[in-house]
Amino acid sequence: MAERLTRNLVAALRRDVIGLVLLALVGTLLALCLMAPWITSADPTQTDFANMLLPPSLAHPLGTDDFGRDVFARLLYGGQASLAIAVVAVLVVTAIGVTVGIAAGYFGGAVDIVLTKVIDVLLAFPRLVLAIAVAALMGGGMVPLIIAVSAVAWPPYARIIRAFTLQIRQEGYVLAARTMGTPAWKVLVHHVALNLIGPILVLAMLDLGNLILSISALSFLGLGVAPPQPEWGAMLNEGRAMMELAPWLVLAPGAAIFIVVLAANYFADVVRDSTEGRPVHGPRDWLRVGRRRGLPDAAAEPTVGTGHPLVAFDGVTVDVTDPRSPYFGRRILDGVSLTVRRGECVGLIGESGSGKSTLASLALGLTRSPLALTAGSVDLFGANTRDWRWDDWRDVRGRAVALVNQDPLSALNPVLKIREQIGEVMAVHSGASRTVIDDRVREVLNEVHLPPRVLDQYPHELSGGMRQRVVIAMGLVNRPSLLIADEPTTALDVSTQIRILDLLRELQSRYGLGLLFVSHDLRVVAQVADRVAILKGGRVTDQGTTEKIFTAPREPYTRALMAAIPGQRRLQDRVTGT
Amino acid sequence: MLRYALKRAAAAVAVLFGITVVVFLLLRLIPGDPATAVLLTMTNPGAGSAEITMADIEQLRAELGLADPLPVQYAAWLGEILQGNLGTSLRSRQPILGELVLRIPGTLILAGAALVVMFAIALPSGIIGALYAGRPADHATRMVSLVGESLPNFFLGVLLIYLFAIQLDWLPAIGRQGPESLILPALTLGTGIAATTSRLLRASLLDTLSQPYILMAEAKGLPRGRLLFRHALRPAFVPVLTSSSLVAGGLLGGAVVVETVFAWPGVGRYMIEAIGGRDYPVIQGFTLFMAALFVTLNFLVDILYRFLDPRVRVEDARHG
Repeated sequence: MAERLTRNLVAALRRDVIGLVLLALVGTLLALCLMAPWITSADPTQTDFANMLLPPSLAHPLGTDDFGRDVFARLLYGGQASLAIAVVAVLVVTAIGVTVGIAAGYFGGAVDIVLTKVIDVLLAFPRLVLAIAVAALMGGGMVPLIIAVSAVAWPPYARIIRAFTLQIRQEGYVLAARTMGTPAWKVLVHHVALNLIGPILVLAMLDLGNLILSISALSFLGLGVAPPQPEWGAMLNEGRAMMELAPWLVLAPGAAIFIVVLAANYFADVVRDSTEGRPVHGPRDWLRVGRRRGLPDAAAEPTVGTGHPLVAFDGVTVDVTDPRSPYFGRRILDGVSLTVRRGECVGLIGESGSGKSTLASLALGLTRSPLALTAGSVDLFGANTRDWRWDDWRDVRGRAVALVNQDPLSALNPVLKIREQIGEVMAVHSGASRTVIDDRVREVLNEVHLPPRVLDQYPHELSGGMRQRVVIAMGLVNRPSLLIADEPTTALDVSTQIRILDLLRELQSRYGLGLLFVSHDLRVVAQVADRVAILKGGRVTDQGTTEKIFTAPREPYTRALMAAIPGQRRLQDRVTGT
Repeated sequence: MLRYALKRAAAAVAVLFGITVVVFLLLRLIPGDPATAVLLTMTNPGAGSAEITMADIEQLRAELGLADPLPVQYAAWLGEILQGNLGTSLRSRQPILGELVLRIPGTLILAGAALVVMFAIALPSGIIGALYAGRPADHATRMVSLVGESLPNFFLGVLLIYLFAIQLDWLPAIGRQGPESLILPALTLGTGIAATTSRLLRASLLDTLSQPYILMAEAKGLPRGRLLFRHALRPAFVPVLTSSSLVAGGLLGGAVVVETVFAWPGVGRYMIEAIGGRDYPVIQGFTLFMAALFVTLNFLVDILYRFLDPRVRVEDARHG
């Protein structure tokens, strides 16, 4: 972990101008502070009332203070104090945090309970308030300052280290060492502590900025190094009164603290990114507020008789186009052509990873980065969607084309009631009145055989089957002409599955709904589909009527699939109706 | 819900008990004999120990409750606390609780205004950061919040005073005279904590936007505004709220510093004055008061969180 971290850091730094600049600034500041006696000959505590409050000059690069002391010298020597306190505090905090965390996590039992309670209580104080109280009661000074800052900073470390230790304790090699009778301290040092170096470094890095801020805040309040000696926070406090006459008294130490903390926080950010770093993708193109291209009439009024298929995929090819993706360059769909007509159910069969969900999302323009359509075209209701912007898509989504997702558990928003989630699809498209919407919502609930009581429930209060029917109701509320059903029954038990399939077939025959039914389950597809397409590795390998595919498969892959169905004989009988 | 609230309240009381133990033990941190130390500072800072009589020391030891064994001392002290007696200030001879209650409105007004500032900064920057993730607008907001997070609030406060009070003379530098004197302290306190919230909101919103239910909301043809504000933002706020104790801690601790910088009349400045006068009972009482306030705030947020996320509400009903 530590190794990977360093590697990531170095790699990140190479391209990071701001990081390099900050590193150079802090490096210079550190070097100047450490070599203070060689940089300046001035004495940081030597008062000189003949030269009070002088502005910056060659003799005094940062001017002098109200005692005539050289501010530059005070800044460098003060930096020694500030940074020394920070370094010691980091060491103390990590030492206590790691010891307590490992002890609590490794030994468990009473030790764990007591230590965890202590941690809980300390975390129940506002951090800075407790630090101020400790430092104030101890009377101020360098050692009390370190104790105060460390006393409030270690509990979060201990808590995290404890969690890591609990995890490591369960690893096979630690269990093995313990059963072989290796003494506890040896196990702790060899197996536990060494594994914790990575997390500890990350923690220390993330907290360093905060720690320096607390230290300087305490010094600012007069709880740090005793007065004639310089320290950044204290210098800032002393300079406040003279700010009108000599702003450099405040600016010099303030800027020094700021630069050090900024660098620490900046690298904490880099560390955080390299430990998390999972790329996430929001809706595509929704920030491109482009002018609408004007929808074709067919999409605005998708009725019978236009002769166009509802959706026509023509040689569509989808690639992973984001170079940051680990799958960059992979082809997901390769020249797929497929159409769905009115009143028709097309089954799309494929194993997982065959690209069937990608094809389904393409029908609603929902492909998200890192995927992108690189060739071919998608026609909706006879209109080419190539130049459609967000608003064009938005107009057909949920109104003319609806999606039923494969996972009913995650397709519903956890914090909104069912009434709103179904009703809003109608509200945003029709602008109908509340009562009209409410009537239609009740009607569609009835169609999917859900009781009206679900309206005021949250998704998590419903069973999986009920949730899936809510998703179907959401799709049907505007009476779309095309329904994209992506594995609508996979997550359901068999009896619910049958009821939902019946419902879909009923709607198809009653309203002339076009259905693209995506599934890996051949038997389910055989039940509902008029035509079937087989997708393998992003290509359509076989396509035809359900009867032809299931009874007389020609392609070897189709034949293999059919042979793999348990009870295949009976299925064929059902398809051919004999 | 009520059961959950009671359970959390019981936990809060247990923590408060732990807090009293820590606060009680704090007084043992005073180097040497506390009574002597107090007398030295009270009488005359320059005076030697020769001028203090043993009788004085004994009297003060009794007053500070230092004469008995520790558990007895603690029990007596806790008894007083439970009756609402935080002790008397050594300097003003006034009950400490009264002095704190007198000054807490100032601190709460400052903290409230700082919260407004925090949301005014964190909401837009967190949302922009998530929406434009990885693009220039994201980098810009991240740099801004990084700067806000790294500027020590005492430095920022002094800078603001220099700019807006001394150079431009637009706003009062210190004290509390009218609403305009709240602006600079609230800006100072709010800026520092905005960065944490902004970062959390950005990460949480990014995570929410990649959830299947947002894809579903998109498939329903919802307009951008509804997608973002109704569907994404509320679930995204749940993790932000769970780490609100960071914000509350930053507010209460930061208030002490900011009140000192701006001479703002609140409990923080009272504490800093007490430190200067070695008024140990006040330091102790203040710490206990702030910790109790912090625990109460966290408790309230915990309850509020239940309302924001209906999923947890049901879990409570099930597991009580």
